[in-house]
Amino acid sequence: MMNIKLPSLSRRASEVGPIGLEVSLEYVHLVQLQMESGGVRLRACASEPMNASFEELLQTPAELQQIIKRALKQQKFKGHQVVTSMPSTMTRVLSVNYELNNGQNDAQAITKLLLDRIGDDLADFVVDFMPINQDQRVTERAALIAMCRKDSVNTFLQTLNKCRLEPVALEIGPVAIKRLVDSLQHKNPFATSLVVNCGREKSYLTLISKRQLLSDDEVNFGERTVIQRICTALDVTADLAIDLLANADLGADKPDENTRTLIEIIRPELNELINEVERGLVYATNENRGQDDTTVYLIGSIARWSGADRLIANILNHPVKTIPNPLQPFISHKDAGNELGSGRPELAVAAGLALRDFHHG
Amino acid sequence: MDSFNLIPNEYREAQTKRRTLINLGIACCALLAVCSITLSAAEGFVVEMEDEADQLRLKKAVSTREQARMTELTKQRKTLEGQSLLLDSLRSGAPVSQLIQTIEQAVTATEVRFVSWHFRRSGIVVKDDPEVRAPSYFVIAKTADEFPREWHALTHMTIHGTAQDHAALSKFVQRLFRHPTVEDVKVQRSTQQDDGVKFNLAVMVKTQGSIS
Repeated sequence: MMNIKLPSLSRRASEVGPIGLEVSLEYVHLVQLQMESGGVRLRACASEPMNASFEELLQTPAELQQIIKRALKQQKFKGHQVVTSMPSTMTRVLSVNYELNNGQNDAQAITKLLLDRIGDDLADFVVDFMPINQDQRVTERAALIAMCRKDSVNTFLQTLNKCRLEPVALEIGPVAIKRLVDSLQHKNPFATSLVVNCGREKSYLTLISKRQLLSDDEVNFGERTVIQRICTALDVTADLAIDLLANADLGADKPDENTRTLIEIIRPELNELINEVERGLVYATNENRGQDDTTVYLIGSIARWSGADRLIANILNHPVKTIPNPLQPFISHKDAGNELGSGRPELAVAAGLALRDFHHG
Repeated sequence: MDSFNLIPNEYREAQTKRRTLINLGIACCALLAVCSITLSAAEGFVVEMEDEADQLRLKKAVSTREQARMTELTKQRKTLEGQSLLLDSLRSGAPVSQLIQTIEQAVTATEVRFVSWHFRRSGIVVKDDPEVRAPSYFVIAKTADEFPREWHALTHMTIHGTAQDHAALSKFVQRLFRHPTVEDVKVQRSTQQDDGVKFNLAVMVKTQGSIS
């Protein structure tokens, strides 16, 4: 088991951190960590399926409230503080370049930039920004901007309040992923990472360099599209297609006939993802002044496919690693064999959110 | 800045206000509870004090009554003591032998003769005597001028007799006056007859009360 050593710890020993809560497309994921024996350990994690999309559930907050309450009851979560994120479908993340004029600060310059682009509708949004590679000596700056509709945010926060939860931060998924990756690569904290977070419908490429979030791009690649292509090509049901994909070793040196067939079927879809990953790697190399030492991590549904990392690595000719269980570094010996120890790749964002109070950097 | 936080400022402010209100509410409830407890404790204390005050008032009333009774009894005692003293005074006095001896010393054998005398000592109850008002200890005269009022409480002697003449009677009276045990002498009546002057004489004898 891998024990992580975080750069600095903001919580005292035996303290329980906030609950990391992610509302994904189909599930509500909860993760809570705590300080134990000088390290960060998993206290509780739970996932509860949703019968409608988040946007639909925001119209009926009582239903969302019930789902969250059911998830909270699954395990022994402690406290009411929660760090959460708005779903990527409801959040816009922009990477912008701007210039400071006439004694402007960053907030004023970014506000002016957004007013020019969006106009008066900006008042309907909640906006936050994070400077990238900020050098105080130069006036040309770059920042990552996250924005979300204010009414949706308020409804979500009120729903959490009704669940007796106290939201202390409302983040975005890429920040949580960055925090998780930071924790995983503590031996080389300034390394560059390109995280491929594969979802059911869409995937996201998150570029992290020198402990900074550089970009978060949406890619038109999802598990459902791949399954659909297999169903169409082989004329099988979705369940059978999922079984075929789960049983195949996509990264084998000498794949069997079935696996070769599967790879041929999914290759066109996979190429779209790989093209985007290549673009991300070029951008990362550019940011690192030509140094090509970026590690590609696979999380989400793609991480469940056996050998997917080796397959993509072979195509890209670049090292690719899978994070099959994002909670693995936080599982203690006593929980290794039980339900708590059997983490799932889709808990990556919730784990990153739960790390907020244990992570500085 | 390491991360985003999309919680709107308005929400944070509302939460802060809500928390403040909740804390204020809790503080008010606590204060109310403390006040209620203090009030009920004070009420209990006041009731206890009132009970104690009632008992003290009761004791005070009893004490006042007893004091009044005590004063009354003291007054009564003083009166009784005074009366007792007076009675003792009245009961005391010169012995009868001394009185007779005194009168004899004042009498000259040829000049004054006694027919009878009456001796009255105060405090002696005399039944069926019109001059005595029962149950008084004092001798009361029939008329106001018969005895001076101050004599009522004194021991006295009434003498009936015959003197050779008025000069002899006068000499007898003067001798009586000169005697230290005689307080006063009054000639109540004197009548010149063939055999001399008949007289009634009252002799007031000094007692311890009149001496003091």
